[in-house]
Amino acid sequence: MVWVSTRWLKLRQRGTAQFVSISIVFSIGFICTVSSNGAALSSNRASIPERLAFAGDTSFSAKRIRTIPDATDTECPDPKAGNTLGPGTADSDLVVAGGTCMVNSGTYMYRNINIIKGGTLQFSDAAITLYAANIIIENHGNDACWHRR
Amino acid sequence: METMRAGTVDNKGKITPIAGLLEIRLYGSNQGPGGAGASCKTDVMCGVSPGIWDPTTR
Repeated sequence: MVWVSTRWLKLRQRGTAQFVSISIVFSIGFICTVSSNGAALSSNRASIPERLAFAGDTSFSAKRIRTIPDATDTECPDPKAGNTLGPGTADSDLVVAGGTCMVNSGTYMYRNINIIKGGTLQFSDAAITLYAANIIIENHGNDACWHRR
Repeated sequence: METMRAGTVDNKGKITPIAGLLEIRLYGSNQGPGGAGASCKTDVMCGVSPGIWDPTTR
């Protein structure tokens, strides 16, 4: 009788231990499921998946490969934009062709400036600052720092 | 004809300078010997005939 009672207690303890273990496993599984779905969160803060995606964004990776965008060509004069030069950017090249490109007062920045046949880059009589990495006046190009009166 | 002028030129060739301040600032790092520089748009010789471009053919 004593042996049966002891045996029964051991089995009951083992069962209890198994039940607790299974409960813990299911609890962890439930928490993970709720977290990944973003459900059951009553607060207004961003859900966990959003945060995980945010953290995994390559823009925050130190190994992100930085690419320099290719320079874009700006043509002046331009049939749509007219014959007045725009301010430009350090990533834009300027091609002056097929007419006169007027540079009025202001500050301008271009990477490469090519003045090619039939093109004239004409500066107004005004305060002008022009930044450029290269200025090439190709054959039959014209860089006129004056204006007609 | 390639020209760079500052001011106006009348029929007699008299030059009147511009009054405004014109600054042309070239920027960029020194590429040193073998630097590529910028390329021409017309062609590799910038529209110049080979006889003028290549000094060995003069």
